[in-house]
Amino acid sequence: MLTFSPHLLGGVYLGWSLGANDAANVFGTAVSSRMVRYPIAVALCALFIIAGAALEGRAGMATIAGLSAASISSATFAAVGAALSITLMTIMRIPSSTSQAVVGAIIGVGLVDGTAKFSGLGKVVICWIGTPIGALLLAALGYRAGAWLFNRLRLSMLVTDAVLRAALVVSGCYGAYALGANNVANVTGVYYASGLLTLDWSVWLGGLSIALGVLTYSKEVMLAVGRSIVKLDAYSALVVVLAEAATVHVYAMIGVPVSTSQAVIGAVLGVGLVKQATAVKFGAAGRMTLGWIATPLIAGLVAAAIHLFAHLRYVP
Amino acid sequence: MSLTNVFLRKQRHVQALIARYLDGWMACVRTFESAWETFLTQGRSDDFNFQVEQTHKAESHADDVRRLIARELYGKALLPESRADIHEMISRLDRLLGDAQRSLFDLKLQHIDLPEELKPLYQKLVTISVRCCVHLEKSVRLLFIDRVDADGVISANKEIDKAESEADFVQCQLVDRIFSADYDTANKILYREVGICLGRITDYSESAANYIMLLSIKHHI
Repeated sequence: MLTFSPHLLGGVYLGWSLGANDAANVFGTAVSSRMVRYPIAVALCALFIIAGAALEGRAGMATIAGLSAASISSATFAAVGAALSITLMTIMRIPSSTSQAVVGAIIGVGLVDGTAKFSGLGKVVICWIGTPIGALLLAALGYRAGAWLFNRLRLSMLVTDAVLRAALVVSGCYGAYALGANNVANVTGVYYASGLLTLDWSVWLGGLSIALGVLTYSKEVMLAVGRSIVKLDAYSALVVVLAEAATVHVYAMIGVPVSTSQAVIGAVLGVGLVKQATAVKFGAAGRMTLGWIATPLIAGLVAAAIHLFAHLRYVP
Repeated sequence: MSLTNVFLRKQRHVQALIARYLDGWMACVRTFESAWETFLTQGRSDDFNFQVEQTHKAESHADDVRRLIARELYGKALLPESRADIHEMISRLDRLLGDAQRSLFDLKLQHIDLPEELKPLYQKLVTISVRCCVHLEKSVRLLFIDRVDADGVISANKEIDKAESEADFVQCQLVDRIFSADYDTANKILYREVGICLGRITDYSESAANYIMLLSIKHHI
C-alpha cells in the first residue's frame, strides 16, 4: 500500500517534466510533420510509457540507488532540482536530458551532504556517450537495410503511404515503451533508494507521472523537435524513432537510464550522414549538445542550492 | 473484406477516385478527338457543336471528381507529402483538359474556318495530342497500382517525350505555312493560336509525365 508523503510531489513533478519534454523524442517527428495527430500520439505515448515502466522499469532503479545513499529529504531535493532544470529547458523549448539532470542533482546533493557514491558513475557516463553513437550507427544501418527492403517490394505511392503511417504509430509506441522502461528510474529511483517507495510503487508512480506530463504539456516541445533539427521525410522519421527506441530499450535492459534526446540526435545524424548530411542543421544539434552539457551542471547546482537553503539555521 | 483492404481502406478510396478521375479525363480526351475529326471533315456543323458540348460536360465531370479527391485529401487521408504530390499531379492533368476544351471553343465561338491545305497539319497535332494523353493516362495508372511499375512509367515518359518533339516539329511547320500563305493577318493570328493551343496539350503532357516520373523516383527510398 502506498502511503502519501509530500516528498513524493518532487518525484511527480520530475516525472511530469520528463513526460512533457521527452514525448517529443518518440512522436515529435511524426506529429510535427502531421503524419500522426497530436491527441492520438499523446494517448498512445502515455499508455505505452506506463506499460514500459511497469514491465521493464525495475533494472534502472538499482543503478540510480547505487549513486547515493540518500535520505528522504535529500531524495526530494535531488528530484526537485532535476525537475526545475528540466522545466527551464522545456520552457526554453530545448530538448534536454532528464537522466543527466537526475544524476547531476543526485551528485550535487550527495556532495553537499557527503553521501555521493562515484563507483557506478563511470558506467553511467560511458552509457551516456554510447547512446548517441549507438543510435547513429543503428539509424545509418537501419536506413540502408530498410531502404533495400522497401525498394525490393516496389510498393506503390499509396501503399507505401499506408505502411509508413502505420509503422510510424507502431514505432512511436515502441519508443514510448522504451522511454517508460528506461527513464522511470530517473523519476522515482531516488525514493526507492531512500526507502520511501517499494520497487513496485516506484515503477507505477514513475510511469504515471511521466504519462501525466505527456498528456498535459508536451505539444510545444513535440513540434519544436520535429522542425528544428532536420526536415524529415516519413521514412527517415520512422528510422530515427526506431533507432532511438532500440538504443534506449537496450540501455533499459542493461539498467542505465540514458537520454532519449541524445539518442534522437544521434539517429538524426545517422540518417543525415546516409543522406549525405546536407539536410542536417548541425547548428541546432550543437546548441542541443551544449544544453545537455549544461543540464547536469545546472541540476547539480540547483539541487545543492535547495539542499543548502533548506538546511540554513539561524545561529544567534 | 480482406485484412489488406481494411488496412488500406483510405488508400483504396483515393485510388478508386483517381481511377474515376482518369476515366472522366480520358472520356473528355476522346470527345475532344471526335469533335476535331468532325470539324475537320464537316466544319462547324451541329454535330460538331454537340461534340463540343459533350467535351465540356466530360471536362466538368472530371472537375467534380477532382474536387472530390481534393476534399478527401484535405480530410486527412494520406501523409501530407503524398497529398501535395497527388494534388499537383491532378492539377497538371487538369490544365491539359483546359487547353483541349479551349481549342474547340475557339473554333466554335470565334467562327474559325480552317483552310483546307492546313487541315492535315491540325489533324496531325490532334492525333499526337491524343497519343500523348493515352500514354499519360497509362503512366498515372502505373503509378497508383499496388506494386509500382517504374519501368512502365519510364517507357510511357519516353513515348510522350518523342511525341512532344514531333508535335513541336508539326507546329513549326504549321506556323511557317500560315505565315507564308496569303491569308488575312487577323486570320493568320487565329490559325496560329489554334495550332499553339493544340501544341500546348503535348507540352503539358510532357510536363505531367516528367512530374509522374519524378514521383515514382521520389517514392523510391
